[in-house]
Amino acid sequence: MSAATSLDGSDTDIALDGGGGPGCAWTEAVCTAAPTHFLTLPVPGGESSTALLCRRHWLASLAYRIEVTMEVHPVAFDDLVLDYGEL
Amino acid sequence: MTKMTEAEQQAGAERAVRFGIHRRELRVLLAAERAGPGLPPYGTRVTPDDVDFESALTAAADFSWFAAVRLPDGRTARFTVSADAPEDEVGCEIDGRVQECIQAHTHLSRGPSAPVEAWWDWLQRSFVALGQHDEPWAGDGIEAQLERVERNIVYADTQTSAARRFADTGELEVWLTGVYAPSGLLPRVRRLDADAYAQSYGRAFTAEARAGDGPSLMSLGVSRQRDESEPTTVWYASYLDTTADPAQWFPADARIWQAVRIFADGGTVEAFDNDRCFDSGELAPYVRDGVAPIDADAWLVVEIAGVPGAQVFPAADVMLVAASDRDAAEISLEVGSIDGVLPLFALHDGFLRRWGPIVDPDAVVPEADLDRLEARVMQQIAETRG
Ligand SMILES: [Zn+2]
Repeated sequence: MSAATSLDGSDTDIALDGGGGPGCAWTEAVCTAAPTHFLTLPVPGGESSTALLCRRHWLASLAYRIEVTMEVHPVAFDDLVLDYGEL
Repeated sequence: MTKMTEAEQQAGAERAVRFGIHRRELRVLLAAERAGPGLPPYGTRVTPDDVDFESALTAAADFSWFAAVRLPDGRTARFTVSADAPEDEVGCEIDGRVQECIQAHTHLSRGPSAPVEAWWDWLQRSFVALGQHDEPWAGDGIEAQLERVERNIVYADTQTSAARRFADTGELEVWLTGVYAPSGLLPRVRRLDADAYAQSYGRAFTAEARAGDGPSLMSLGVSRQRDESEPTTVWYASYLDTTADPAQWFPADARIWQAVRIFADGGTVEAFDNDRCFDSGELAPYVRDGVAPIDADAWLVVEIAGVPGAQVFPAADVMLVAASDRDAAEISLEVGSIDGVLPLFALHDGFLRRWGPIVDPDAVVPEADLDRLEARVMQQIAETRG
């Protein structure tokens, strides 16, 4: 678990630029669990990217956006997370 | 038995009053942690059960301390009362040695007296034990690095500090060098001769000059992508004005103002983005050689070998975030104002306190807990939609 954060409040918990492995996309710690859930997130330029996560890290990722990101940036949840659910 | 002077009697009476007040404060604090809403740092080994109020009642007849804390390493901390300390502040001794209360993130010392909740927070933060991992991918060795490549795992390290925590430019340079060491990139920290600079460029701080010449004074963004041979430079309409109040250096709403991000391979810079920096060549005549003190008036110049442009900022109110990521293939330095950044760190800390067991890879979380958390998160999402 990392106590690190970025000064601009951007999310550091999900790698959008690959990772590429078959496991959970959580990057704050090593997670070898099989993904069971997904998050579709916006990418600058209008594209979107889908991250596959285990349930634990899927919940933590959603909660981080609500409890940290949305407190820092005035942004609607639906603009921050385009889609989410179980695989 | 020696007779107490009147001054000693008065100090004793003052301590007796404070003894009662601080004892109550700590009891309230611990009760909030036991019952909520107070949440300790996740993984701390210092708990309310380790606090002993009773022994002070018998052993501290002079009211010099009001509670003892049994620490996980076997030592004992005592919260001390002094009639000389500012009101609402207490001291802390560990095995009889006076301690300094160190703030989270800035690592600045509050000195030997602080509010009791600051001490409690410091003690709890000082004894956070999270699982030590001995997996094959942990560590700096070549085999561990290969193991990480195989498994798509990256090593990351982020350190924060107030710039003024360091006594001189040498100390700050050692700190940065340590964070960047795995990358092989070398930072250099020096002090700007702010007076000499202001005398040479003072004329530029007129409306006419701001609109026209004096590009060396202008803030730059210099970047180069991997597939480019020449860097791209953009100019910002902000000037290096060392005569201005350092507190005005950052716009009020800016958490981050300056940053340099570098992609490297084996100590060679491959790509970079140095934002809101200044031209190193133009600055050179005004940069002091060697180690110089960091005091309240210091302006600092940070350069990283192989990257054009120098980060320049006043030391007074600055928070530095230095990071090494992707197995040191990416390093960065972010510069922001302490006041602007601390609320963000507080949000992040709060998240980790609440979600600690979920994000701790060593914690076992029952499915029933996840069911409960999922219900809560779904409700939170619904609430954001009003
Ligand atoms: Zn996971």
